[in-house]
Amino acid sequence: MRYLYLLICFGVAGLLLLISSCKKDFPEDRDSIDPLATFTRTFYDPTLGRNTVFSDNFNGANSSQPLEFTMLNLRRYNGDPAPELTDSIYPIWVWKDGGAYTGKETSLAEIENKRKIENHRVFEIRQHSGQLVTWSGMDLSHIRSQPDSGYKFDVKVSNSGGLNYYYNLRFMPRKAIPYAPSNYNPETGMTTGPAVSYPTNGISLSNVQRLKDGLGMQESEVDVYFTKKGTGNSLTFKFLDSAFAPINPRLFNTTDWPGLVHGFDMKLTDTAVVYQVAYPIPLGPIPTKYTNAAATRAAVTFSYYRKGTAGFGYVCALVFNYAIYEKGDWEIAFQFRNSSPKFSND
Amino acid sequence: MDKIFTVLWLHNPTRLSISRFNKRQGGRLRLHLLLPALLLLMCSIRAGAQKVRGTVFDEQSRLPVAGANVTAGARGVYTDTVGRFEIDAAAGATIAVTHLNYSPATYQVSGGEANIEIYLKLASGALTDVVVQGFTKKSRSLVTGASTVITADDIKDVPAASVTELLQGKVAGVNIQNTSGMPGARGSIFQRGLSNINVTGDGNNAYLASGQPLFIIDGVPIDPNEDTEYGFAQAGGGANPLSVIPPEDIESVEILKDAASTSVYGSRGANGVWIINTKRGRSKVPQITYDGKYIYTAVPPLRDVYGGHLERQIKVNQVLYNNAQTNNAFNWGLATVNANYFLSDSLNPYLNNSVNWQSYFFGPQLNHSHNLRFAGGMSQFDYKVNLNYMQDMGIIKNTGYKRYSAGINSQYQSENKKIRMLTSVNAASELRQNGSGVGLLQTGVGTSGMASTLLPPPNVYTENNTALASFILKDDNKKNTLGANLDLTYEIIKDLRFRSTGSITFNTTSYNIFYPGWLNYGYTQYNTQDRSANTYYNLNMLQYTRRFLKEKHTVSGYVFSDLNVNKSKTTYAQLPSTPNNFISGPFGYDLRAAVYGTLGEPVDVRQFGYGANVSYDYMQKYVFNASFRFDGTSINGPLTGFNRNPMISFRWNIYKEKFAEGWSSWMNSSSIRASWGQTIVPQGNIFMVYGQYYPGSSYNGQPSVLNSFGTEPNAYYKPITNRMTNIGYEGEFFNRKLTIQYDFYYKFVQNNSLLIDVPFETGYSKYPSNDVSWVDYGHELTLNVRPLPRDSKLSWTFGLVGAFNRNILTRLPNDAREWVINPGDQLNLPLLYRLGRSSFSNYLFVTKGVYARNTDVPVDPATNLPMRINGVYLQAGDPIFADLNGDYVIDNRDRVAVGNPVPKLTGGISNFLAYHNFTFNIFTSFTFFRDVLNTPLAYKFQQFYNPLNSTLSGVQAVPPVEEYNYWKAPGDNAVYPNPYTYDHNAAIAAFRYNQTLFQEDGSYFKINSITLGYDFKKELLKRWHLQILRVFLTGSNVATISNYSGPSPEVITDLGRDNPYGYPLARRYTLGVTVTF
Repeated sequence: MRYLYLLICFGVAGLLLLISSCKKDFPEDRDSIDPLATFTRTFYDPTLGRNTVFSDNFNGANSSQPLEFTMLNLRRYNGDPAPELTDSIYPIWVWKDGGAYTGKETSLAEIENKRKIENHRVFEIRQHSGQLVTWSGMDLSHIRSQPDSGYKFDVKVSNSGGLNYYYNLRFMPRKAIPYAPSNYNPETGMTTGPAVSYPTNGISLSNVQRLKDGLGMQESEVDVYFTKKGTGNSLTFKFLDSAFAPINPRLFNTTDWPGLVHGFDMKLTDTAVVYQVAYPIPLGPIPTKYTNAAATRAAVTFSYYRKGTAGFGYVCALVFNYAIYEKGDWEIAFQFRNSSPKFSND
Repeated sequence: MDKIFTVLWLHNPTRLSISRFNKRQGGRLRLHLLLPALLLLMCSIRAGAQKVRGTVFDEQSRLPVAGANVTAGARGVYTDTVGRFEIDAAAGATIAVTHLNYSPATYQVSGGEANIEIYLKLASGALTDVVVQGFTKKSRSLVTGASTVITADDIKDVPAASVTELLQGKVAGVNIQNTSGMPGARGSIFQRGLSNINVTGDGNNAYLASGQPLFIIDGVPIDPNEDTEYGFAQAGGGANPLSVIPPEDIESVEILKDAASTSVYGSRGANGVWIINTKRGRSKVPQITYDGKYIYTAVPPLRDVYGGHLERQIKVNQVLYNNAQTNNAFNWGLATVNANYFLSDSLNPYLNNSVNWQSYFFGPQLNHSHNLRFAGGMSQFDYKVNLNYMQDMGIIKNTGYKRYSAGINSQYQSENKKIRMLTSVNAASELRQNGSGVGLLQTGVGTSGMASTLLPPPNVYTENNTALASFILKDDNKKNTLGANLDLTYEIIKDLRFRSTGSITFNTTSYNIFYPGWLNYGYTQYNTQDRSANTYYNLNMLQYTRRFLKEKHTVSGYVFSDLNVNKSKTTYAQLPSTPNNFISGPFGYDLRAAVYGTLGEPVDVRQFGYGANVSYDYMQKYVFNASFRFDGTSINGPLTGFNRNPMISFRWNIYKEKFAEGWSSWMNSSSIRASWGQTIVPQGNIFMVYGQYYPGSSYNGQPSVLNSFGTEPNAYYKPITNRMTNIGYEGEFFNRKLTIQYDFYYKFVQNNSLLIDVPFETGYSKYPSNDVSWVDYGHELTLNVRPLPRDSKLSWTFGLVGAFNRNILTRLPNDAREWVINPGDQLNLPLLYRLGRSSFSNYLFVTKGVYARNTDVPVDPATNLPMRINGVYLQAGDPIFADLNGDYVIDNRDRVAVGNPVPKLTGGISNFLAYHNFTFNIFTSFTFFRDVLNTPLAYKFQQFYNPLNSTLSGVQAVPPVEEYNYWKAPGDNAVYPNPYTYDHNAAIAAFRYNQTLFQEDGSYFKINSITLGYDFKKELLKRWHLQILRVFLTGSNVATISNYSGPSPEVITDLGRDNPYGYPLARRYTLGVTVTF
């Protein structure tokens, strides 16, 4: 009997040894990181002053997801440290979970409720996706923007399978332009003229006639003036005639004033219409009744009805697509350069 | 007195008996004293006695049995080395023969016999069997390899086209899954884990490459993976190659598992070897045995659908609700419904039916099979003829399987036993109707069977022609198989034998389909495909066996060479516009539009091997066996040369040790085995090695041959190499009431081929690399218990078979850790090879529930964009897919490796009960720890995607989903997304197959068969001049216990995917009779 026990013990021990020694040689179940994985975009030139997300900028090839991205050595082009990017952290408004902005909010507070304050640097990398984000709402005065050579940075990409380094990616931001369409020169950050004029004025007209001669008015005859009047939360629309005298907005008699912008507390006077709004405009790239179809810009339509030649009725409209990225008391003035529109019936 | 008579016959008995006698006698003194008395007695007894000479044979192997104890009355002798004995017995006396390994036998001396033959049946008990190891048969106690023997008793009474179905759950380490209920289909067999992890096809047609073991039927090797060239890797147009042998004719199946047993089979034995022997003639008087089975095949529960008005109501509501709720446009919804006459024109009799389509496809069947066997013979010559007819019409219309087969075998042995000749011929003709699919898949049933119930029932004028087509199509698939074998053994001098065996097989398979014109856009079409395959096999060996030094040492060895030739070719012709709906050719078709030629790549493979095997044992205590084999195949790379495959193995029979002598009261035997060896499996084809060339246009008047730049040739292309280590234990306890067999194996498979992309600069696009490796290791346990005493009236044998297998991928090309297979899969169901995990894993989106409210959808803090799929924003009622990379977009980057489609634990439990003449058997099998993708459930929900299908033939029925917890209103904590937002769901693929929502545990426990049998009493049979009469009642595939919510946890591809078009397994109830005249 003693032999048997000995034998069994010996056998079991040998078997366990064998199994355990075999297991040691198996590769671990670790993530894969492909040496061929690469950034498909190495040059990032966002316009400052707006939230920009660079997506699909990394091809993971055969790597397993999720990956861990870390931005390293964000530095000026000449190699100097860049504390304006690495050290400056600002509290800014970001969107929070719990429902995206839909354009159906009924008060300013409801919109603001969908945002919260988070601390961010101007230029960040998203931890798992490798998306590069520039945030808005910060002091941008120290940031070296184009035509400066900007900054360089490295990225470490890792997962449990290993890590890859990617060196000397470029960050060359463009100067902030507070609104679009704009009259700014992106190189200098200065306006090129007082008004936004044709062909970049973002205006389209239909059936609008000149008061002067009854001819159809061209888009080139309207200039747009963006003016920031304060640091509040309002948006004002004004119409000016060729002599910069205000035109009564009520003349645009078929305009849907309450639904013109996603603003509240509308004050329609003889000279202007004012809304309390949330910035930026548009709030998100989501198509709403206040935006164009692609949701890239807000869209306003000022329209009026008049009887034209031979008693035909016309709906005349001025459509304007725009965006304002900076919070403030903004005023948008449309100046009819040559002649006011004709509002009266023929 | 016993002792005295034994002494008298001292001139004859074996040396063994002398020594025993002397020992027992204790001295010669008493012998001398007794001698005078003996002589006196002897004279008186010899007066009535005669000398009876005879030979004792093993009933199964026909080999003489040495050392059997033959007694007549009080006298006893032992048989010599060729089984002969000579004994004095009076006429009418009974001769009893006993042997340790055999059941006792008796023979009544009638007088005048010159030379009697007595056949011994092997006693049940694992160690007494004679089993095959390598090319030779050995006593179980001398075998160093792991193997399992299944006998006719284990597989009788259950109807099946091939023996594989019957072995499910009966062999440890052999995982058999009946992946299709198609009659005659080939199930999948995995012996000791995966043998090949290549995947062919994609979507629902993705299959794991077939890596089945080598079958040797009566000495004829059968390529188990034949007819898998064209992608139908599991069940092709042809039937299971094993179905050529009716299970009724099978005597035994020996399953060789480890390297020690299979290594000499070299290039073809790496996935295991199954040696199948058919029944042999045994009785001097010819016996005629008839087996008849009458089978009722019942349809398993089918899919539920809403019928008629309810279907219309649901679809209309779906459109209205969806447009009102999500698009806020009720009127638009109303207009959409009105615009779709299929939904709105409810008074149109064409669109106002309630047809149960499945009832047209499915129906129970009555089937039968008959087997007739003539057999007889003696030691010098025996013969058997087996005739079989089997009909198995499938539960799906127009599908079925019929087999006519004939098998003959016979053996001749010269009187001096110097020459032995064994021949066998097995021929079968198999007919298959595939209905509207290739057998495994029933796409016709899948699509037409799920057609809208509102459509009118099938007839010539209706839209649903596919349904009609699957009933009417003349689908005629024939497979004729002929296999013949000749096995010659000649004893040149004592101990030296020469054996030569050769076999040929011929296979012709044809698939013919004729489409009448009214089913095929107005013109007829005849498709025909012919496959012919031949194999030639020859093995020559020289075998030497010698015992020496007081017979304590035995050395035996053999050298051998074998050659295997494998050829196959398929031609295909498509003849459009034949004269009319009744004439399908051969003339009169549209010659210009006809297509004919060779299908796929013709196969012409040769494999040649030679080697030697040596074994040695010391007093049967220590057994050592080693072999070395060289293998060359014509589809190796030329620079790889011959493969060298060594094997070494050892066995220790503990129970023969001196110290174990005292244990014999409770331990009958106990042995430990160990083996290590290498085997190879050829893979790929000759084009992987030499590249592909094609004739180009002429250049300067000379014909040109151009290189095809698809796949780069690999002159070092290697076969798959298996290196297997096996450690086993066998033991019998308590008078063989308990037998245990345990094996641990560790199989390292390397050089599996994978086509990898190569740089553009090489000129080629793919390169066949040999860089995939994995490890299979596992434990196998076979337990047999006979708890009741031997003299109990009720006998009960309980068997448990279980195998635990783990499978780990260890290497990929380019040192990658992960590899996506089929990245562009049409159903988005790629597989993932990932190191450290099971050889292949599912690559899925992780579903974490359903968004209860719109406010639950995460929002990108920078852009305000909610989570989105394909640019569509998610909303309440949508699935929550885990956004792994945090970019607020669900795309292919969010998939993870989850699940293990390879079952980890498989086995079965069997119970044999016998009481008087009644027998009651229950066989069960189980499969545990397997992840299955429930694609039918996903498909069920996907049927809600398109309520507005504009082509009538494509309109689908609506299945009930009430039983599922799906999202209905904001705030619902649901499991399944809202099925009714159809356009949105289709846009975001809410019910995509590749999500963890549909991955389920595919474990199951199945009752394979329950049999109640009755053997008529011998006395009764004598009166009727019958030898055996047995009737039985069997229910097979009776019940499956599983948590799996899909149709069946077994009808699942090897890749772990269920299939909405799968062929369900039928339930069978059989009434059978066995008569022997």
